[in-house]
Amino acid sequence: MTMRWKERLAAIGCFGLFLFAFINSRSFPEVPKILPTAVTVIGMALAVGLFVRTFIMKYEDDGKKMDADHKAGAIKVGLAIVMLVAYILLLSVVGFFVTSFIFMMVFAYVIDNEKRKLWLYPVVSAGLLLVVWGIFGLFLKVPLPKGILF
Amino acid sequence: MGTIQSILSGFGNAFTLTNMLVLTGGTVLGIIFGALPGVSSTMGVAVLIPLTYGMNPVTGLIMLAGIYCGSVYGGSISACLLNTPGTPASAAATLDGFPMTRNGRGGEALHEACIASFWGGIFGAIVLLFLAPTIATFSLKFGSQENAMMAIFGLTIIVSLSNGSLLKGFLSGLIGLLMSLVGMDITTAYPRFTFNITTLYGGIAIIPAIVGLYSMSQLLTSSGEKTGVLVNEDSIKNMKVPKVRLKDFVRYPMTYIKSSIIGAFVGIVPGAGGNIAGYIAYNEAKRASKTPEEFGKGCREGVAATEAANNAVCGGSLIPMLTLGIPGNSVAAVLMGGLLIQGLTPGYSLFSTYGHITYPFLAGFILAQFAFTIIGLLGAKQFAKVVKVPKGFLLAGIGVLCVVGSYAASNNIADVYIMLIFGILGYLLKTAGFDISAIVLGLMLGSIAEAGFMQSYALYQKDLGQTLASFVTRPISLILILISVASCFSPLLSKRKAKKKAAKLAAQQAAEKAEEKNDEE
Repeated sequence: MTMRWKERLAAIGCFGLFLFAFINSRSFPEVPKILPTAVTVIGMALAVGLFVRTFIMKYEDDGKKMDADHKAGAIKVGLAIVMLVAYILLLSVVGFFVTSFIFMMVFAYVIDNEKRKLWLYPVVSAGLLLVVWGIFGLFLKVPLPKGILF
Repeated sequence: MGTIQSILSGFGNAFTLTNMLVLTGGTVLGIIFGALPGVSSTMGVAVLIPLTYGMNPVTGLIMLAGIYCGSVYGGSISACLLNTPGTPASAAATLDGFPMTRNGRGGEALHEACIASFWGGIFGAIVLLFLAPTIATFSLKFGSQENAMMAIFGLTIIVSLSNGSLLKGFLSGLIGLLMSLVGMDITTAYPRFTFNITTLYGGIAIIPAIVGLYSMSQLLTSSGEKTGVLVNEDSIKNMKVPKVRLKDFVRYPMTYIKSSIIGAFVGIVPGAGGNIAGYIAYNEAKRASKTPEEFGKGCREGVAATEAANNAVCGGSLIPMLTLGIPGNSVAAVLMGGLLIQGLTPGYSLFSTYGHITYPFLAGFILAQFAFTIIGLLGAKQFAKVVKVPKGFLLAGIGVLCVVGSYAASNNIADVYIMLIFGILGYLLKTAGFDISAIVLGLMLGSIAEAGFMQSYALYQKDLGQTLASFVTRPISLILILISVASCFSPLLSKRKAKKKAAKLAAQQAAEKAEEKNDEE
């Protein structure tokens, strides 16, 4: 996606966010409404400004097409988001250690650009998890999310 | 108690076995995080803040000082060895550090980076130690209007100095401000934008938001990058690390001094970071050198100049943060989050009521310079190996650390969700060229600005006109308004100047070409 379109979508997203907040803030009493009103109105105006600018301004990457590397990168980011969302949602259901172990193994395998020996993934993941548990759980006594398993 | 006495007692409190062990651990972690390409100092400090939760404030803050200073030095390791700065602050170190490595002098480059970082760091820390209490005392003159304007000024200067467009900078700041409004209103306790979600009643937790915006968004960016292990194996395997002699510490005294001064003062200016200081100091060293032609080809003095400057920034950047609540750069913003977690609010109280915490922290900041110098010089070759960590494992580990860090803030899984949401939002905005630091500052300074404004509003019996007039009639507040407006328009003016200059240059070149053509004919 070119920067022009990224900015255009960002402007629409920002406008939507500020508009939603503006509508929501209408129900606030007088005093708590002052700052939200100011922030959302200015925010909407700037978002409109950014949107209009995308039609006027020249961009460096205009006309350029996404190459294969960029496409592969975008797919990896998408996969990373899916893995992170799944990991965080399952964290409090299954438990920290099991989900973290599986997440680390799968994430490292998918994101790594070089494919390594398969046994390395579970071994390194277990090792890293042990270090995290040692530092946070044992040494600093920071509680870790618990679930059905551990 | 006088400043000198406070400083001495700070050293006394900082110099305990536990603190020294924690400082060493923090420095090692900082160097490792700094050396990893793609893991900035900000990300390192944000991810490692949770380590300090269980510690007493002094120990926790000393550890953060070690992480910060260690990471800035660590950034030079990958800059020199791989031509890839571990942190943006080390960008200028690649100019001569990498050519030195290619000439087989990688070990020498790392030593110089460490020594220069030491001098720069010490200078910055001393400036911090003596200047911060004075500025903090000045902040006593601030009323609610000045506090509000100071927060707005902080935001405008970060926005105007941020890369890219002013429009996006302001939008970033406003997104942060909007996020800061979530939670109970400070004057009436009315819940705003909470949508009946209990966790949001207390507002958006700063640490999970920071971890998400800086660390998680960076993790996503790195996931999509093509680079795997960025290392040239031979450059590390065959790297010779020379012995350090005492005279190495005084090899370029003038460069150390000048670069340190540049770094410390660039650091004080909010928004201007180590990368800017590094380039300014490099240019100055090149200009003053008797052999400027050697710069860029593996000149040791070039590494000295950039590293002294970017480490001096560390101390300087903490001055506006500790005294006025305006972080000098993104790491300082994260450190401010660390302070708030410990229940400390920037300002005069840090140097009076909480002096028993602040001065040991500042003393720890000086000790951190010694720590990374000793550790860096002894373990140069070992730290160089850090850059070989495969990307997949590194990012997976950081992902888990982000989760643990956000959860540990208040043992609440909702904070992890907040971190994730902010991470994805940060990534999306970053790819569209928005400034993450401005969002973070908006989030942190929003409540200060609102508190100041609301106090003034209450003071003038809820008369909006009189409240706004009070901002203009008070001299300090008026000056802050004028500076804020000037800082907003300065990028536009400098852009116009640059355009005019470029047009003039183009016209001159065209005229010269036309003249040449005429001559030929």
